[in-house]
Amino acid sequence: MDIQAHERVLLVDDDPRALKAMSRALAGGGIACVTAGSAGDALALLRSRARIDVVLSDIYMPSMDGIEFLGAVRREFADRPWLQLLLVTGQASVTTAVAAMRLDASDYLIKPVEPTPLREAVGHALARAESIRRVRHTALDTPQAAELQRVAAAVRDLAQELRQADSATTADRGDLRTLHLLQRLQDARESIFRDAVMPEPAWEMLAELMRARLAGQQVSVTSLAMASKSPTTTALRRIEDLLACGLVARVPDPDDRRRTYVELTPEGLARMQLFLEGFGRLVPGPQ
Amino acid sequence: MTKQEPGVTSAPDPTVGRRMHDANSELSIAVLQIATLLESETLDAATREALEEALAACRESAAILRGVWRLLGSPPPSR
Repeated sequence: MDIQAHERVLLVDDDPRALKAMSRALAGGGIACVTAGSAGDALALLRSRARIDVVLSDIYMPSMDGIEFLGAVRREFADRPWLQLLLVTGQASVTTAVAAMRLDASDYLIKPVEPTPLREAVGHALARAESIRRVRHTALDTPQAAELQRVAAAVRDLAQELRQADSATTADRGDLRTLHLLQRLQDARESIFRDAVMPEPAWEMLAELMRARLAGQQVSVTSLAMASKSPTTTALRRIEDLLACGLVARVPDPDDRRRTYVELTPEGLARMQLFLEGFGRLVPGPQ
Repeated sequence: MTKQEPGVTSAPDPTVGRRMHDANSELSIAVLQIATLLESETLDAATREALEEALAACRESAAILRGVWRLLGSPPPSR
């Protein structure tokens, strides 16, 4: 283990040459690192150094693979939600990508990684960690923060429900409480940020589609555009973006050929669920 | 009809995938080290040219490996 004073990045790989190459590339961008040659060493380092903000791990390691290791990090250091996890792998696979998303990994880098993308990924992760630390350590006693905590607790419950129930059951149940949680999240955001944050049409529409899915309702393109809180032309462009990303799909109304509904795809639904889980982790619960 | 490479089957031995992955990891170290060296402003022209050629060769090798993985039709072990 290589321990120095101000490093906020921990690199984990069983190959010391890979550690050396990554450390050197990051040092070239002014990013100092500590390194660990095994998951066990890395966990020990995290226990002794609360200042580490970013963990970048190879996926394959002999004693514990990167996915298991990062899962262990999330479990043991649940009180450090600012920790940003990055994975490096030889080639992407659906299984590891889904596992990385479930761990709320910041990024998923494919070998060979070049210095610039490596620095950018680590730099973004450092900035994100710093931002989360700031939110958690400022003004926790304000009314807005208390409201945010209440919403976060409700969102955590919703994420738990979504995890346990399959989507069809959830949609059919139409539970009144879950119907309103997303709106409460929006309300809390508007209450805290007020006019400083403009409506984000894509997000507003995703939230509306999630709400509709939980209520077992269908949403027409026109209704969705209205829910975006933006001009119709902007909303239609954002719907096209969401279609291109595979997060939503168009469904023709069998009773009226002139009307088209929009709904979340399975991937869109899964991502909303991941968002809710991640949000619940980021906001501290009541003290 | 595509001619099959000797020794390459439609269901590759996991060892083949593992070794290909090890090769990619070795290339990854080389790419990172060479690309970092090339960021130095003090290299003489001949050294820079040699390093640039070495880096291009490594990138090409990595691309070939990815192509072979696709040909084998099976994802490599997740490393």
